Amino acid sequence: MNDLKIKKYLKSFIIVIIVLIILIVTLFPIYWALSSSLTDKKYIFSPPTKYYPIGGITFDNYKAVLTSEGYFRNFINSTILSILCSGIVTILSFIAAYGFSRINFRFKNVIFNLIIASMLIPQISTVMPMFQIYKVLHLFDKVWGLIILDVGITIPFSTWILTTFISNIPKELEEAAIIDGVNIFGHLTRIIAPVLKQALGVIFLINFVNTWNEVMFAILFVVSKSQSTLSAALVKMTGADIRALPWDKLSAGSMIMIIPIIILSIAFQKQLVSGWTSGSIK
Amino acid sequence: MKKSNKINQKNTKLKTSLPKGLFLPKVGIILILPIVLIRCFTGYYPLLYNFYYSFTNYSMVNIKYHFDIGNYLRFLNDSNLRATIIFTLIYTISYTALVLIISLLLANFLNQKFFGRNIIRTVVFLPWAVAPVVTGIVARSSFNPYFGFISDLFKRIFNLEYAWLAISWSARTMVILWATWRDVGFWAVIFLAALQLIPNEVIEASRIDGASAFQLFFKIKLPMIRTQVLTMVLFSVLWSFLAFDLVHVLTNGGPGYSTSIFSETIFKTFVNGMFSFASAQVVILFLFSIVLLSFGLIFITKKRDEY
Repeated sequence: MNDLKIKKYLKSFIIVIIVLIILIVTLFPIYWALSSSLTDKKYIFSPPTKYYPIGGITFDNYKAVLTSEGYFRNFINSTILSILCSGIVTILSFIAAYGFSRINFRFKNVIFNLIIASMLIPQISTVMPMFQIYKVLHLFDKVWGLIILDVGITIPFSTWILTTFISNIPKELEEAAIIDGVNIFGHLTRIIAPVLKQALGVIFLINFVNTWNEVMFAILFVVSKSQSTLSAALVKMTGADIRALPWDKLSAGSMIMIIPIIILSIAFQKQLVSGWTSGSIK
Repeated sequence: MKKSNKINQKNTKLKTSLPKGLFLPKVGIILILPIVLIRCFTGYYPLLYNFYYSFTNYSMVNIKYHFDIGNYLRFLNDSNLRATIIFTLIYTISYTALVLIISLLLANFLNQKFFGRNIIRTVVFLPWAVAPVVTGIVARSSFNPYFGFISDLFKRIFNLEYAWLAISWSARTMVILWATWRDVGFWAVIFLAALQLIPNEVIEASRIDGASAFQLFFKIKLPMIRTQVLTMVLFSVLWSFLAFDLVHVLTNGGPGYSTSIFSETIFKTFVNGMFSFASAQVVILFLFSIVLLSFGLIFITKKRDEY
């Protein structure tokens, strides 16, 4: 009896240790950034390192970064860009996924495989021709210019997942619900879309996050601060010298950038995971 | 003989029972046209463009360019590119291996019920929500000799000051570790979901048959989640190969080119005005990716056939 109890306590003890290690390793960097963002500037830059907001919590860093660095505008830019791109990709890839999944036409499989294979094309390869095109069209330095680029990189994955989802809808469902004389778009919006509500939501979320985090296009195609996205603004704030990082502003800016995504991830964790696991069904 | 395909079979059945007018091939083409056009414009056209220009000597200096295969010849001799390819391979392999092992262990650990298990699962998922850029910024700041916590902890424990990001091997290690930090939780939660789908009877039966924890994990659980595992490996390898955000912010490819992943090197080449050289690198990177993917696919389909 004693033996069993000792084993049980040992097991619980080990579990607690492992959980503690997980918590510390996972959360500490985020915690440190948060605490630094709430610490007054003079405490941050005077050694030694501060691990909690010495001198009380202050929102000065947030105020400074939002107003003097124009970060608030960047936040708006990122939000609008992410919602737009995500919405466009979700709708377009939904339509295309239906076409790939339910309709037969010449070269369909070739085209489908080419779309998925285009995930292999490195992002940087898109940059060079677009540079010339954007110069001619005067699309530089505008947030709108980034739309088609960000849409382009999120298309393959979304189309792939949605095609899998649609293929799994039993055709009896469609046959039962179809009305005589309805055209394809009515069919899509009234019959198929409601069935896929959750999948579409997940795709929208994944694309939103990917566009929000996107960096390469954001720093190359937009130069002025007012038109930049959050990610580009943060990169520009970082600069080249490791000894001169404006950690007060950077930490506040970083928190502003990650908190919306953290909230979304926690709220939609279940859906995100299911959206990802469905992609592994081939 | 036409390759039979799940999608094809479904369609031939559909054609006979639904109104023909709705599913004409024409309709299909209209439906897929927008994304195909966009993808060709942002993906395949640039690829061809880069292929074309890689055979010229177009650069900021040579605006009037002409045919020249110097880029590919330069490729063989360039030490920066050699360092790039070496690090890209090291990064891809280490990162994928680390993430795979740790996330599998984590998922297995989280598969047992204990107090607060769901909270831990959510916590573990969090780093994925931190943008790679922010991960890079926090990481970079943590190495700062004045206020960074890694420098500080190292000083307190070992009484040493060490310029982590100035030495190539430690910089490389840190890049790999921070990238792992961000992605482990994400895959762990996905594997956990897959593990939870394994019916309890299977596990009970194997326990009754006297399987040890090791055997249970490697011979029973792992094979049952192999699709997710293979998907994870595929995506991880692909994305780490093409990674850019974290490296760019954390080390900018330095010191020298020792942590320059391929995309970072191409970025630097492009920004320095050597356009055609950058194009050549893009072509080579793309070819590498195809080779990598082919090996991966062959490996995956072989593994699948084995079961």
